[in-house]
Amino acid sequence: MEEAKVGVFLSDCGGQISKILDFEALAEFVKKVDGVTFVARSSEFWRGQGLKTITDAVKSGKINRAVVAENVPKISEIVIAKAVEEAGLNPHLVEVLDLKDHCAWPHRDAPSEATEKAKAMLLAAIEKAKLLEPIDKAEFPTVKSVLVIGGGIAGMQAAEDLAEMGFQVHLIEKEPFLGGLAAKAGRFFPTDDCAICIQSPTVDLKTVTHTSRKCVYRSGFSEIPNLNVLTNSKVVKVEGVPGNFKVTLERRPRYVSEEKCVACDLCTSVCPVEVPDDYNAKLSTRKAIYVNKPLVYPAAYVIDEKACKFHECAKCVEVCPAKAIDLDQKTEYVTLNVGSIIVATGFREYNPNVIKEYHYSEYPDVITHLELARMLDAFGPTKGMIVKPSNGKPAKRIVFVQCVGSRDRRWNPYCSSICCMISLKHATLIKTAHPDADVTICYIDIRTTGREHEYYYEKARELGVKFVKGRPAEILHDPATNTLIVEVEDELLRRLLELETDLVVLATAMVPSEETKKLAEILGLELDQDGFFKEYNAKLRPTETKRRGIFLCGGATFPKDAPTASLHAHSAAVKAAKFIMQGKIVKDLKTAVVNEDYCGNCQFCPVTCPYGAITLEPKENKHFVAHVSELLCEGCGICVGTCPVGAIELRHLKQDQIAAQMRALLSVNGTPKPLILAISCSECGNAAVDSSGMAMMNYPANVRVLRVPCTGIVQVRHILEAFKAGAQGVMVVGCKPDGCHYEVGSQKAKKKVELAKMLLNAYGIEPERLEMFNLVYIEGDKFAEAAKNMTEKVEKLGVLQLA
Amino acid sequence: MDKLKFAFYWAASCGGCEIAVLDINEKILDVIAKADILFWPVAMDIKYKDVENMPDKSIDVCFFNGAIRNEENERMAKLLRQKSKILVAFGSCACDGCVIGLGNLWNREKIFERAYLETPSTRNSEGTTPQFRVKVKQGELELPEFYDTVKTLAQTVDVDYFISGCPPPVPRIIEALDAILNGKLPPKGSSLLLNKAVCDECPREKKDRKITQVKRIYEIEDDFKTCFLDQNVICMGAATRGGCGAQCLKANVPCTGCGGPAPRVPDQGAAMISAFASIAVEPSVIEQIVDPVGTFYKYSLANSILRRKVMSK
Repeated sequence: MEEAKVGVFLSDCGGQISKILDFEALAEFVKKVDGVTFVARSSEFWRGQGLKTITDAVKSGKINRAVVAENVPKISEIVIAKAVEEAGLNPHLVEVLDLKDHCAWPHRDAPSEATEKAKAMLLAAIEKAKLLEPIDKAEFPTVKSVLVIGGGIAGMQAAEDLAEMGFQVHLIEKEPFLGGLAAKAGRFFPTDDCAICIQSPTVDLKTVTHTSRKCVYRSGFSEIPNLNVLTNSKVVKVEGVPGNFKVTLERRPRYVSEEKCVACDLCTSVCPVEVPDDYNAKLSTRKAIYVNKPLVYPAAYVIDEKACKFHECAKCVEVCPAKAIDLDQKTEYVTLNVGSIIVATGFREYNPNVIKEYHYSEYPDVITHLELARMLDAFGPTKGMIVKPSNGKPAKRIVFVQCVGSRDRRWNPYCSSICCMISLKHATLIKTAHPDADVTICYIDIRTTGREHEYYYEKARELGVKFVKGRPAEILHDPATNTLIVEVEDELLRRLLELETDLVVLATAMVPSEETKKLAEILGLELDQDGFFKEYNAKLRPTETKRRGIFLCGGATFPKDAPTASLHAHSAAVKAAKFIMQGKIVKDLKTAVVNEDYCGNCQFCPVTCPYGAITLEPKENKHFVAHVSELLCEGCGICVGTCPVGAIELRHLKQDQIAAQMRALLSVNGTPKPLILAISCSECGNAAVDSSGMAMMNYPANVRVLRVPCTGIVQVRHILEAFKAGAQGVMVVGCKPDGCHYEVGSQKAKKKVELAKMLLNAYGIEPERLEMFNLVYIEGDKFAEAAKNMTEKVEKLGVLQLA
Repeated sequence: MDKLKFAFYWAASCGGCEIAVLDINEKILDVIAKADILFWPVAMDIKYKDVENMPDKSIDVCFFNGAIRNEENERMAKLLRQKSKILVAFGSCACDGCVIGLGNLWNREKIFERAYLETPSTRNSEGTTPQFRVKVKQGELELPEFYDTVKTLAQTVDVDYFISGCPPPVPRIIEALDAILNGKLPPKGSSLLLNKAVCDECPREKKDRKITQVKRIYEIEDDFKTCFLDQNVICMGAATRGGCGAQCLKANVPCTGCGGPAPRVPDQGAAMISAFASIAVEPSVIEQIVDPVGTFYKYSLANSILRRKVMSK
């Protein structure tokens, strides 16, 4: 490699910091540093004439590395890197440091000490710059195709968005029909419109007008170009990389050709098999060959394999005028090549069977909301009549029980969030249709947080729905009268009630869909403590996941009402589109690299990588070496902090660069206080250091900051080397344990620090000389305080004398 | 061609390295055919004075085992360096300090107190401890000075090659001898073990790599095929230079780290601690480590970054 010629550019930030730091002395100092070939001073270097000074120096060949002391490095380094790249230098050969917020401002009361610290900081940057190596860009192709898993309201809307944007979309649904939970719900709150309404496509479908909503089956959904709907299908395998996934689907046989079926109903009329209808909550029966009503999509019959007698009977085959039925259809395996994946697998009702005191499976007149919704639906098993399932007679008295299996530590601790509104919806619908009905809702808290939801509650009260604050203790059945008795303590009136009723409706918890766990394993996604898919960041990236190219929407992340699921779906669609729209991902290879000659096959790094970027590559004689996916690697260095043989390094921060910076930072003290090295992450940790400076909070200049991408890269050797190099105390400053930008880095650093403290103790070194701090940007005051406290503590401990 | 001239020496060591030399069995005949052994205290009666009288660099290769614990060790290290063309640090003590190096958790005073006064089996009513110079009726007696700090050979003199292990693995000794006899030595400063870790040679199957607690070997029912770490027993194999063929693991004993640090690592214990803490599932696992130095630095304390304990004055 060409010998390093370092240009040092000292910005006094418009003269602000030259009032504190002695810039003459700094310039003299850096001129003498080996390898420095060019020194310039200006009021700013990130734009205008200052920036031109840098690019001119590059173009003239005077420098091949740049160290720039500039204000707001997070922004200025982007601009400077871009400019030097245009001038012909690799943008990763630039090191930007902040003499204002990291030195002049916080140490403004001690200018000479601040100047000495600035020298150490500049030396560290120069020594690092000399060791910097160019980093290339790489391109990874993306397929402009998306897989949407789950054909409920969220999945359908995301699929439609993407198809209309021109991407090839595969929408898969495990059931034979689209619609999901929404299609069974009948109506939606708070608008009371049909649940099977979706946004109608805006692409030109000739006959479909672009009014805001249509029933799914009338919307022309299936005719949207680029949309491929696969029902009866589930994902069984995902291979490949983000942007280029190879997905294998298992497609169960329908036994009826979607293309040929004319939905004439002749097959149903001859089918001799009658079974309870799952879709209608088993309140009615259906044939072994059937469609769901209201019809969603596809408009083709399906055979229930568990019920059908197949060739023993085959009456449907005989009558089908379209020759659409094929009893010998087999399970197919379909392979798809997609660029991104959206998970929209939704949620389901919790089975309240386990809650013995409510006798759900024992008393037929204890039902769930979904069962009631089917009754309320005019297409449903009772054609809209509310009946007692035990005898089919009308139910006039109805009690709703809230929080069944939710907000209950025995079952699900969380609030399912939508059940209050569902109960209000159902109570309102009943009261509107049957004003004489006696409707009571037993609740813990009524939660109506959405827009217009409180009005909905008021409306229910006005209609005469009764509210009892209390969680029922037990539901009893009186066989003589075939009535149910709900035992509940009214907490407001402080009395025990025994509510006699015809029907009890359990507002059960909403839990993750079946097979969520299995799908998470296939996709490599994390689940939260309640078993829902975990998003990348709840606040900022609510529809993204830690796996690049895989997105989430709808109830898969938590129970949601339809408006929220819609929002979520549109967000996921945008994210999925953004990921693949360029046809390629261009990335600077600021990634980890494995030196295969040294990788010892311990297989630790694949486990510690939060991005699944490290796999094991087989070599001869059953040996393996770690392999880093350049596409998946985020460059945090947690693997580097793990590797016990030093076989993994970051291209953008090698061990020799860390060591050189550490030595330089500790080479000059210039203060009467003991030197303290603060190893901070580039994310929250460094942001806290920034903000302490910005806010002019004072801390002593003996505290020196060494920036690493993530504290997860920190090895115990760095801590020991710091003490050896003259540090009297070491601070490790990272993100909050649960707020680490690289997921687990901060937690791993904490464990390393704890074990290192035990080690220091054994070495006869006071463990208090080492501390971990978890800070965020707005905690600049805490950084300043920690730096002060650490200094005082170390001063009290006295000078550390190492052999 | 003249025969090569070899020397073997032991400083602060247990003698196991000497046995390892003999463990090469019939290979010794090849060695004798091509080389003369000039100096080997364990096997030949030659005095230090004889070595002093040898011309400088008259020994082609000196295999030096043992750590530098006392003044005699240091004097011999310097002498043999002067007399040898190639100096090989042979075995863990010479390379990394080994168990002798754990003495760096104390100093001379503490070690003498323990060894000569406190141990339950010691009866020393007069409180006698070694003195370096003692006047007796017949004159003055001298003992080599016992140092506070154990050093490795390379911390004392310039070393050409390293072959660690406690003792060095026989196949690697044979390879080293072959390389020397055939003039095919690697660049100066190389280790004659392997560059990969013990894990790479271990036949045990690696599983989920998540340590949920720390157990001693007697606390588990070993299934004889799963990696010890996956059975919650600390094994140093991941952080230890290989070349031993994972022989301890093959005998169902976890690696304790005698191969020393991996080539690119300055501190074996710190490297394993970092890896261990990174894969420990809960912070509580960390607290279960009883003896961090004894566990992670059994062989390498003297060759670690901090080298020894800070003793309060």
